[in-house]
Amino acid sequence: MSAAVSVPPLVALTFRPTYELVSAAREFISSLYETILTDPSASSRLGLTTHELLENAMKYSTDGKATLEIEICRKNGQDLICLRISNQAEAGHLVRLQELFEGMHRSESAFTYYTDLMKRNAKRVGSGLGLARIWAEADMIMSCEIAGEMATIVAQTAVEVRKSR
Amino acid sequence: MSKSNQNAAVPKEPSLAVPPVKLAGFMAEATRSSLPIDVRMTGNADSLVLADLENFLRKLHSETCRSGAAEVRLDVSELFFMNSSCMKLFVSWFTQLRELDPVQQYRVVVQSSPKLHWQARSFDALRYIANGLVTIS
Repeated sequence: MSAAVSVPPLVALTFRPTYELVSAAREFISSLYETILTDPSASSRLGLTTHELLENAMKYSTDGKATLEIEICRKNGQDLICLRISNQAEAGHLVRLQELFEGMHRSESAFTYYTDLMKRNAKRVGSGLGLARIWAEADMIMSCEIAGEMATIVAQTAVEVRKSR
Repeated sequence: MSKSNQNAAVPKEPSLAVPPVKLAGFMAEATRSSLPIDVRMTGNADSLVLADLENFLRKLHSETCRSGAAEVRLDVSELFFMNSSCMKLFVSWFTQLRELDPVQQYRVVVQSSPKLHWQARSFDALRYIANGLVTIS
């Protein structure tokens, strides 16, 4: 397996997200995806992912800040886009986040996990539906890294980048 | 035919007590000009519209049950985005629909747009909640 050839982030955004800013960031970043990717469906999936990740960080950040990095790299001859969002969070939330990812890894499929979660506890705040949606609807490979009080969620997928002129 | 007779000939549909939502980036309204109830949503359904959308869907469900309509036609062809918090409201609506007595249940026909790629996946998952009562056109 060849190592991923990484470049500096395409976008790096550190801000104090509000609901208004999350929507504005989704629209800005979606137009960016439409410019650089060949497939409109991929742009739509990534717009959804960006929104859900930012809103998730906004809800659980203990200092109100979140950092979003988007990078495109090339691995095994394929373009990959990687979204990475980090924020400080309470210990209880970090435990729930780990449990959520363990549940996802145990599940037979993303769609099954997602629809089961909808049926079981969609009304509950903090149900994890946003992250499950990214996995099931946006077809992203998801992982979670926890270091101290920092939670980092990584979502990545293969894309086709438009050739620059 | 006199005017009063003309009026008498027009079958009157019961009016719907579902106030429309008219916000800067989102609009939802329900009308009943014929037998189904027509619902149209446009714009972006995100956390900024959550409380209004929740109220709208709750009243839409209760009014549909009250009026005895057999079908709700939901036009989302210009609904550009919906976040997971708003999706939860649809989950609640479709769960309530599924749990109704079978004689009270109504159908929901979703008119989506193939240009808005998220819609097929989101409404496919939501359709699963409603056990065949929701179809997507």
